[in-house]
Amino acid sequence: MVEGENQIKNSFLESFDAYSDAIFRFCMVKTSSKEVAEDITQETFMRYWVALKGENKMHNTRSFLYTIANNLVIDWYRKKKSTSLDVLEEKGYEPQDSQISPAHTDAQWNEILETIQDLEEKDKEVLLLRYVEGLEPKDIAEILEETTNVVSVRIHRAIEKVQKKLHI
Amino acid sequence: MKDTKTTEYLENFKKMELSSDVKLQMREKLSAYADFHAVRVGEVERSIGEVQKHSVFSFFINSKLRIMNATLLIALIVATSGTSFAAQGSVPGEFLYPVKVYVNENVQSTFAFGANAEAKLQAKLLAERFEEAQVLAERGELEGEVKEEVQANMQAQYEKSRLALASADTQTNTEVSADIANTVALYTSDAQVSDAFLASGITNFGQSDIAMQMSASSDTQSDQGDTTSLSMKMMADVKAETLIESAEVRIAGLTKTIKNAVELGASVKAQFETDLKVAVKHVVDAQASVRANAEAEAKASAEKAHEILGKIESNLSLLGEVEIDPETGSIINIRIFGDTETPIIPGSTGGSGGWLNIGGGVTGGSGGGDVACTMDAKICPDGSAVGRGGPNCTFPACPTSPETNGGNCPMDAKICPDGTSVVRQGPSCQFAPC
Repeated sequence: MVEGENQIKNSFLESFDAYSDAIFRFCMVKTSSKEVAEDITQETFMRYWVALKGENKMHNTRSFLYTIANNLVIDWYRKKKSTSLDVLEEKGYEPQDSQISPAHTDAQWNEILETIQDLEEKDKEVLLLRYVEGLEPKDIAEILEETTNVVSVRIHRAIEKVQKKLHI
Repeated sequence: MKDTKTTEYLENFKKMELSSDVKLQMREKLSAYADFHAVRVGEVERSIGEVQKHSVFSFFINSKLRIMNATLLIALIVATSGTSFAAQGSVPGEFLYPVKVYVNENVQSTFAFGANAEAKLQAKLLAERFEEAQVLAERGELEGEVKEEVQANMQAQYEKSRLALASADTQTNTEVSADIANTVALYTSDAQVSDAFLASGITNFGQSDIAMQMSASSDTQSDQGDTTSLSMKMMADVKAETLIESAEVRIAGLTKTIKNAVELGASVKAQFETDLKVAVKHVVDAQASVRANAEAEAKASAEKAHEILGKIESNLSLLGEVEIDPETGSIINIRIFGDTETPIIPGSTGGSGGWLNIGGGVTGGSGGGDVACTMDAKICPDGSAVGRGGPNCTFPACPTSPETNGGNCPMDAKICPDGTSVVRQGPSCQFAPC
C-alpha cells in the first residue's frame, strides 16, 4: 500500500477507536436494538471510509460520523416499515437471535433506556449528544439539520422531562 | 443538586458501549474493508469516488437478498466494494452487467496508462467476454437475446483489442497476440461456446487476424498445447483477480450463513469464524499482491483462501441443508440437520426453492440433485491446476509430476521487473529466472 493510503487508513482506524462507542450509543438510543446499532455503527464507518477516499478534505470527523449514522437510522426506519412482513417471516426462522448476546448486558441497558423510553425520539438524541457526548448545541444543530435555537430549546425541555420522570 | 443527579443519571449512558470483542471484530472488518477499497491517491481518486457513489448502497437496499439483519452488513463488506465486485462476476442478461462493462471496465481503462497497458487490458477484457460466454453456456442460457448480446459484445471487444494492439510496441504486440490466441483456443475448445461463435457467423474470430500477428512472433506457444490439456491450462490461466472475487463472494455468503446458523454450537461457530478470518486475511494478502503486480503471489494467496473456504463449505454441508444464491453460487444459508446423522437428500422437500444439498459453491440451476461445483481451481506445487469434483466439490489430489498434465507446463507467463516475460519450464514447471 502506498504511504499516503496508509496514512489515510491509519487515521480512519483512529477515528474508529475514538468514536465507535459514541456512534454505537447514538444508534442504540435511536433504535433500541443492540444488533441494529452494531450494524449501523459498522456501516457508518464503511461509508465514512468511502467518503474519505472520495473527498480531499474532511471537515469535522465526529459531526460527519453522526450525520451518516443519523441518515442510516432514518433509512432503517423506512426500511423497517416497508418490510414488516419479511421481517416477521425472518424472525420466525431465528427466534433465538437476541439470546446470542449476554443477557445481563441487555438488561442493564434496558434499565438505562427505560427512563427515556417515553421521551420523543428528538429529545433522546439531543440529551445524548449534549450530556453524554458533550457536544455543543451548535454541533448538534449541524448534525440534526436544525437551528441552534431549536436544539437549545429542545435540550432544555428534554432535561426537564427526565428530571420529572426521575422525580428529582 | 437537581442538575448533579441528572448528570449522574445520564452518565449511565456511557456504560452503553460496544463490547470489546464486537469492537475488535468490527475494527478488523473495517480494516479489511479499507484494504479492499484502497485506491491510489492522486489523479484517479475522483473517478473512484464516482464509482463508489453509484455503487454502495442503492443496489443492496433494493436487492432480493433481504437485508436489515445483522449479517447483511458483513456481506456488504465484500459486496460494496461496490457494485463493482458484485458486478464483476456478472454476465450478459444480468442486472449488474452494465455496471461491469460501462463503469468498472472504463475505470480500469483509466488506470491503464500508455498504449501497451491499454492493449493488455483490452486483451484481458476480451478473455472476460469469452469467460462470460462460457458461464452462460454452462448455465444453459447461451441462447436467444443473450446469445446475440454475447456475440455483439465479443465482436466489439475484439475490435477494441485490435485497435489497442495497433498502437502497442512490437514486444507487447507479440505477447498480447499470443495471449489472445491462447484465449480463443482455450475457450473455443468448449463445444457450446464454440458453437455460439460459429452460429453467429464470426467464424474468423481470432483466427485470421490473430494468426497473422502470431506468425510475426517467433515463440508462439499455442502449438504446444493439445486439446486434452486445454481445460487444464484454462484452470491455470484463471487470473488472480478472478480468484479473489470469487473468494470474496464465498466469504460473504459463508459469513452470513454461519452468523445466522443459531443451531450451531458456539465452539463450532467459533472454529468456522476463525477459519473465515484466515480466508479473509489471504484475500487481503492477495489484493495487496495484485496491487504490487505480483500475480503469482496473489494467486497463491487467493488459492489458499479458496482452499479454506472449500473446507468450510464441505464441513457446513455435512451439518445441514445449504441454500445457494443462484446468482453468485455461494452458500447463503443453512438449515442444520436435527438428530439425523446422514444428510437428507433435498428435492423431496418440495417448494423450498433453491435448496440443494451440495458441498461447494454451486453455479445453480442444475436441480435434480446434480452436483455442480464452482469453476475455481487449485494450483498445485508443480504449477498445474485441478478443479473441484465429487459430491463435496473438493479438490482432488495434485498430480505428482507434470506428466499427468500431458507433459506440458501451464502456459501462463511471469512479467519480470524489466518488462520481459518468462514461461514455466523444467520438470517442476517453475518460472525461469528473470
